[in-house]
Amino acid sequence: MKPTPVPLLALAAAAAILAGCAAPNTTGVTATVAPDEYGVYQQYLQADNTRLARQVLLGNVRTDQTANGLLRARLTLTSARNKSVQVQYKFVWCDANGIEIDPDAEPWHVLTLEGRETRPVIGVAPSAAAESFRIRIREADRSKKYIH
Amino acid sequence: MKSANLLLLPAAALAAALLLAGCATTIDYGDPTSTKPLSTDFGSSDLQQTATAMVDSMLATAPLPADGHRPVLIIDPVKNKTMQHIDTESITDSIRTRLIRSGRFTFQDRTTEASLQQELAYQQQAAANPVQFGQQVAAEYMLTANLSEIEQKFGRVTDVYYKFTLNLRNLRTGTIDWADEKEIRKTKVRSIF
Repeated sequence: MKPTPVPLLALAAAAAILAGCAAPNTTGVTATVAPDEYGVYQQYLQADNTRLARQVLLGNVRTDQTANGLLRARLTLTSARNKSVQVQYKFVWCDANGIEIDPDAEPWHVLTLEGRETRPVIGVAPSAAAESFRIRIREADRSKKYIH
Repeated sequence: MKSANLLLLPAAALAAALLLAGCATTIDYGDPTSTKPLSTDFGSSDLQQTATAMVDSMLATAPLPADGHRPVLIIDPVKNKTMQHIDTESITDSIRTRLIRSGRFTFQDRTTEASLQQELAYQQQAAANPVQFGQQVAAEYMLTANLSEIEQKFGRVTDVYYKFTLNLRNLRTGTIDWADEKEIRKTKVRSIF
């Protein structure tokens, strides 16, 4: 007797519905830019989400001072995909002791990168106490959990 | 055939139980900086992204007095030209808070003027060392802002475009010394079912 395809279909439907309710992957890529003992800015990259790290590349990380004497971070995000990819990024500013300034004050920003596109990202420190920064990048939450 | 149906029933029940458990109504604390869009309305994340973008731009490029003193600003309520009810004072509050925390600007506040006048009047009668009238520092710049919306609908698609414009007006000369805009586009595609 030929096996009935109904259980397979039911499983596929359940998988599709569960995918809609699944928790999104909130790990990402974090670049830390901090001065070393000689005052030269060094960058460290931590890729927790290797899929995202392959899709979106960080580059041209620069730091300078604004006219108002605040630390400014400039970098580029490049998509390595041919399709558009939406990411979220957030700056985290740290003082001379590496302590985070105003942890909840910086929101996540949404950025859509078209295929192979490079976009500049600029952040200005919230206060003159900032000496180093981190930028966190994660995948945009595309789950349909709350949308009716 | 009958045995296959007998197996299918518990499997379906298990799948249904899993689904119901995973997608049941829940209440939880969330991230206040979350960017999860729930609708095309102007949301908290839009407010935060607008405020930080405006302040970052202003801190980076707004002209400051040559003598290095902290300019005194006053912020005008945002003109809400959208079709929605938005607490625009909340946007200006966020912008003002970030600018004050940067340590580069000071602010006058007209929204609490009635309470201030009441307190000063009370001091004149009751206090031993009342604050004298006419000692306030005058604002040198005024921040004015507009929030506008363009909504388009076609079939199942709703597309909403928001534009927030912030101007820094020099009260002495009347000129706009700095301005910037933040644009946000939100798109909703309604499900077929």
